[in-house]
Amino acid sequence: MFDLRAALRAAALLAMLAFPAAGFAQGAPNADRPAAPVTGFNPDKAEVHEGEVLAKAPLVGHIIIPDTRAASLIQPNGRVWRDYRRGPLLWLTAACVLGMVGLLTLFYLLRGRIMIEGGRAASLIKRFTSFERFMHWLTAFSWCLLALSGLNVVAGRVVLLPLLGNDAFSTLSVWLKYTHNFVAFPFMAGVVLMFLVWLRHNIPNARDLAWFAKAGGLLGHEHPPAGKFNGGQKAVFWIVVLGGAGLSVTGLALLFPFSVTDITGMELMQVIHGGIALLMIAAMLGHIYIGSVGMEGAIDAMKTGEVDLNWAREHHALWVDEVMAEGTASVHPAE
Amino acid sequence: MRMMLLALVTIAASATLAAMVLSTIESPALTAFATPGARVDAAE
Repeated sequence: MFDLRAALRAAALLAMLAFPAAGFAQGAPNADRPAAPVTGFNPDKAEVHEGEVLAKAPLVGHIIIPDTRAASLIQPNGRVWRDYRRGPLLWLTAACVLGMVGLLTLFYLLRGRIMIEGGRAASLIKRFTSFERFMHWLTAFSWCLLALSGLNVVAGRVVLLPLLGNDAFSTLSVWLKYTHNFVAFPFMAGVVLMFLVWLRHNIPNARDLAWFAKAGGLLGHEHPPAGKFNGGQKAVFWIVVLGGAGLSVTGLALLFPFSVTDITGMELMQVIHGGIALLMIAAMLGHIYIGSVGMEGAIDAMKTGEVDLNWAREHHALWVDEVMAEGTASVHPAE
Repeated sequence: MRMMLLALVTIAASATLAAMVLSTIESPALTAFATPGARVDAAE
């Protein structure tokens, strides 16, 4: 007797043996999966090194969800970036911050405070308007917040975590992260304002070379003549403008992930962002030093907008001559 | 000194405004810490 059931079972078994993929019908979306490249490379060999595997083996899987980035299972470049963050970047940070503080301390011990050679005059001269001082402090305060919160991203786990513990450090890092994200906007506004208002006073010229040749009078007692801004201040201006632009571009790319570049590009952006920031931190520490404890009378320019007339003649002789000749100088007796 | 205070107030106000505007935009960088477990990740 012909057993129909037995015949059907046999046919089904034969079909499954002949077409094994049909047994995985639920995996139909993988039907168009691209075949792995045949490279002759065997990642299972015992003597194969991990780096070689990561460099040659396919690391991108196949997915059917909309976010195609999720197909990237391992991103070897991320290890290079992580190793840089955990090693060289920490040393660079220490060199820029602690190294600069050390240099400034040494300079202060050797040179002392730079005093007004002729002593304080009986008169003050207007140097900066209220708006100029506002945009300076807008940029300066926001920069300080960004620098501190950025340093926490780089070195917080090494410096603060052991001191504060997980909970306190986590809470602090959350708020510093938000601070970094959102204070970036007044910083960018301040940089743009300073660029527009002070650009005409910061065009480099031959006098700046003479100023640098004499180290701006920092090492001796001779003060090279300078306009509204001397060579050193012009250098600070361009460091802030160009550095600020670089930080803004890379920072915005990181603030909106994948909107500008991919993960490797964002890692590069972070490296550039951190590098520019460290150079600026070192430069701004020098600027803060010479504008406060390093030089008598300098802080008055940004505090009240008026400086001692003798200080102005020693450090910005050409500017004093210019505003005196124009009749625009605002001079009045010191109280 | 008044310009320093004005600058600080402006920073606080503009940062708050930026936070309010950007909170309407879905960005992983801006919302990372709103993700459960992210606080632990930050510490570890």
